[in-house]
Amino acid sequence: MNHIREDILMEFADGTLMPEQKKEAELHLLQCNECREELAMYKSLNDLLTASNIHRAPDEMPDEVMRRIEFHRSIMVRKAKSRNTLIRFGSIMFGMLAAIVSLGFIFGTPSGKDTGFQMPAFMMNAVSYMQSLKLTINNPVILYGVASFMIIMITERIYTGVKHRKVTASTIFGVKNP
Amino acid sequence: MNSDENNWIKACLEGDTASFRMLVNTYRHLAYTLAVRITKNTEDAEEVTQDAFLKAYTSLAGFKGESKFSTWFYKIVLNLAMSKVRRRKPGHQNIDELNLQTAADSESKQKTERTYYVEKAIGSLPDDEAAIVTLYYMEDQSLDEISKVVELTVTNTKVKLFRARKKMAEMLQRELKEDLYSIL
Ligand SMILES: [Zn+2]
Repeated sequence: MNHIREDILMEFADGTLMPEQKKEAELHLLQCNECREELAMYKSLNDLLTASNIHRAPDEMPDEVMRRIEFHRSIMVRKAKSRNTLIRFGSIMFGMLAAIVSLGFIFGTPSGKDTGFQMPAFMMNAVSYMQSLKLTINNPVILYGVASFMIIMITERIYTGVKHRKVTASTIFGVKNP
Repeated sequence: MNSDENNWIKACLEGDTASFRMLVNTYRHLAYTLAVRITKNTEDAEEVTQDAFLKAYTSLAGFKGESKFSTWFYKIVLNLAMSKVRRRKPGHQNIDELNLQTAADSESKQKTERTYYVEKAIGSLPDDEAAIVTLYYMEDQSLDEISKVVELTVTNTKVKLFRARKKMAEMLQRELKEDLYSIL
């Protein structure tokens, strides 16, 4: 006579056997003391494990966890604040640089004769490139004025975008976020 | 997943820290039990459980709801507990009878004895088997979910569960054949 497989006995003890397997096992159990003892063992084990399964965590744990979370949050807020300051400082510097370059475009000439500001090479290249495009606006003052205004506007958009952690084409060129 | 839990998680993600407390209240005993079974030390288990909650809070946005919250969370607990054990200096103190006595102070002597035998039996298992047995006897944990927590296939999980239960049964049979009948 074959004994009942141990995994079947465990499932019997768990009560998860299919009705047919269960019937078969019961028939064997009726006539086999050995398997009955083993089944009793697994049942006891189940009782032991379910009855004393849970260890109680200390009562102060929720408070302690929440305290640590609040601490973590306060550090995150501080970090975000200092990041914002850095971004603001960076964009002001960028804006000022852009303004200086724009003023160079507006008031500078290749020779520096009329205005006292001689354009560096990159500005002269930019000017001749603009002229080669044969734009209808020929007055360089208007052209460069518009360019510098746009640079400043874009800087402001980037700043707002980065602050809200969203830099997209729409935050730079489009409408402000609601 | 139950809808209360969903709401708490959603509220947390929207910045309502207080609803995280509900998750802590729901899972602290189960998480702590799992941590005790792996670290075999109540002090370490407390630290692991707290760390696990903090980690769950900071990575809650990464919980996509593909599994149950409990499955996702127990995996965090298990990983932290395992790395705690790995980082441990040799000669650390394992769970002792005293610890168990105090834990069960208010309960009956019978309960204390049971706890003692269970911990002794589970304590003799390798970590992964201890974790599987613990999860198996917790409410609501199917073999499928357990296998996700321990990162094994369902078949391997089943084999390990079988092996663990067999070892425990043999151990209990050997050690406390008479005692067992008196406490059950
Ligand atoms: Zn038999």
